[in-house]
Amino acid sequence: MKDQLNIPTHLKFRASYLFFILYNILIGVGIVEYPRRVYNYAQQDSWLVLILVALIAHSIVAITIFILKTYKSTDLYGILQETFGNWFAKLICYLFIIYFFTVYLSALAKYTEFIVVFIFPQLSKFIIGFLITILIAYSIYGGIRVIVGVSFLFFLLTIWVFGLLAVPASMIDTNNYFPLFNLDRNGLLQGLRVSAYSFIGIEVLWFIYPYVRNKDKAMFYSQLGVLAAVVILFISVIISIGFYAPKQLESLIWPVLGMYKIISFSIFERLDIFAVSYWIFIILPNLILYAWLITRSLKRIHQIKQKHSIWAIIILSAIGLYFIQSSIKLEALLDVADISSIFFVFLFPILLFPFAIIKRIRGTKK
Amino acid sequence: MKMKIKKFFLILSIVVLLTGCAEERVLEDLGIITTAGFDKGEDGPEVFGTFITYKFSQQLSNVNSPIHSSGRTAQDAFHLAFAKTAKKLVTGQLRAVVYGPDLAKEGIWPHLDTLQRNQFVSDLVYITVSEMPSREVLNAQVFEEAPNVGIYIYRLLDQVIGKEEIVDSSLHEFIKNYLKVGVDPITPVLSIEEDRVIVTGLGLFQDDRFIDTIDLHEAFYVRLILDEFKAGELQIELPTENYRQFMEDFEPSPEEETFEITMQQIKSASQISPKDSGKYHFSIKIRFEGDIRELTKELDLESKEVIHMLEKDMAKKIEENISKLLEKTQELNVDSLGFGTFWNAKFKGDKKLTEEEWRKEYPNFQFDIDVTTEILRHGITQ
Repeated sequence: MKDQLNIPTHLKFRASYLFFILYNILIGVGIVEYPRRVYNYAQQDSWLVLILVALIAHSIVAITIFILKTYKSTDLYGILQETFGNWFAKLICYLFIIYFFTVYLSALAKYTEFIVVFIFPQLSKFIIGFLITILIAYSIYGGIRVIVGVSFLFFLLTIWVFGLLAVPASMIDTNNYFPLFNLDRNGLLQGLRVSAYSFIGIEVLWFIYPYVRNKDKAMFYSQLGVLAAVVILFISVIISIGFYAPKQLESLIWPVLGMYKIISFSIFERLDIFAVSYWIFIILPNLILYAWLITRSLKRIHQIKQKHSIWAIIILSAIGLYFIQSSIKLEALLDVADISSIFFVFLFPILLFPFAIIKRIRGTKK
Repeated sequence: MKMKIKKFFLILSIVVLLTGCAEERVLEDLGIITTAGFDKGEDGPEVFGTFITYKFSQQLSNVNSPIHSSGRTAQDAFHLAFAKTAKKLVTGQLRAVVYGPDLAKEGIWPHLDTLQRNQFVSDLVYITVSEMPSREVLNAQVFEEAPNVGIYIYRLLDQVIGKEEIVDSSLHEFIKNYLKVGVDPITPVLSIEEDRVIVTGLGLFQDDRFIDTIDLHEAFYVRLILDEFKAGELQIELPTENYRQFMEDFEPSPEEETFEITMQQIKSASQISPKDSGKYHFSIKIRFEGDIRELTKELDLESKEVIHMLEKDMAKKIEENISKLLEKTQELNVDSLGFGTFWNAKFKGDKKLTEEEWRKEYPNFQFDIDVTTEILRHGITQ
């Protein structure tokens, strides 16, 4: 037990907030295009694929929390340091930082793309991205409690947006769901692969776990958070399949935003423009959590103050945004995030699992 | 404290100044298009566009002055219209698009694709076809209280669709039905009568090509099969012969061969299920209930016998009309009711209809129609 993190009590939060953190980090830009991505491979059985991925994700959360519990109160860096030594821990954490940054940048670029396409075609992505990063920097300056608060608040602010999908849901053609179970093995595997992107974010547990005050409840609330995200994903997939014609769903880049185009109130005619603007409340906690993850890991490795490293992120993301103006480059970046997520989200905890078991067995022998 | 005030003003100035970064749009400087019409150009592959815009000046509000322009595509025609008005044309308020018959017969998908690609165009835009060139329809001078003929067309369609007379025909519906294998799109057909725009029926499409029109009477049955009614209205003709004995109390002997009965507050539900019998076989079950609103001959509605006879005869008549409608669609080879999708939702593998098979086989589809009607009330008189 050489590296136990001593988080001051005033920085710790109750386990129930893990629910909001996990929900917020899972529901972000990915959901907007998820129905199309999975439909390309799994057609009307997409929802089945989602349920399978969700089961895997739930077990990954269980494994992650099991490992973290084994090592009492430390984060990923501490665990790796204890098991593999200093330099290997640093290497893995660096990989994680690069991965976090890729995800962060792709999410930021994706959201700025929405704004450019739907609202201000003449505005540079650079400016929009810069304005958003100011908000992110503000939250990082506020520290962990502000970030947790943002997650909680924005959950309440945004959850009703998905309720609006009741309007397209009323226009569903039930013929689209049948025949059921028409899925071949290739479709299933490919569907599972593209679904991984929607579960990026479970890794947040590796770094936020030490901050939880009542750790015995951590498992329950993180599973609940994942479940909430799965329910939202499930709803959006089911409605998209019923609402669009098959070829239409395959061709639409953002089917979920497209569904808001059909909603119209007499005082608010174009809900899609509202939805795109309002989506920032969904994206923001997401981006803030990633920025926090990056700065936090840098602090663990090099004791760099988070208030300093955040500026490095802002500058780097500005440069990044400058280079990915076209949607093709953005797709390439997303693919990188997509493939690496399979390793960092799904494989990594499984690889670490045996070491945790060994440690537990040794612990009981002593 | 001083720091806080400083910070506050810093943030305030950022908020105020940055709003200038985005593009500004002054309402009065915009030519907000409410309806666009497209026709085939007089010579060559040109598209002739007609655009109706909002006018903000009070004095001119009752004069209809569409903007005309032609280009090689619909988008090109729209783009070239910029030289014909002092206002900046925008499409965010587009409510309806009217395609002329010549253009519609050649296929409207290329034009719809531009609309769909344009993020500023709502998916709720009504897609319609006109009987005469759309420029004539959009030249109508009577548009009631609407600010312009574009809004009038929108309100007209809204009202007609809201009254459950025809099925919905938004851009989204059209694209969905066009892209789906096993169903063809339908749109309302507009015409002009005494200088005002009217709806005359439904246009049947084969893929994206306009084929034929059915009138509003037949349109009722399209809706009866496709959708459910919550408060529809229907007029039906029944033979007088069987009812003579019940009419005698009121008038000696009616001369006409037939009489009319009007049903109101119609509630209906339909169920289409494909049957596997070696052929493409469908059973259509329709439950239909409503109130009698009008009878052209007086009948003894007190007696249960009459009500039962009416129910039975109406069911028969509706079945006849539906099968006539279906025969018509089979002759034209347009599966506007989407039987193909019902088939494909049930069967997979080899039995699934591909697009070519469906096109080839649709005229040979077989239908069992079974209608049950129920008369709930007969108004406030006997």
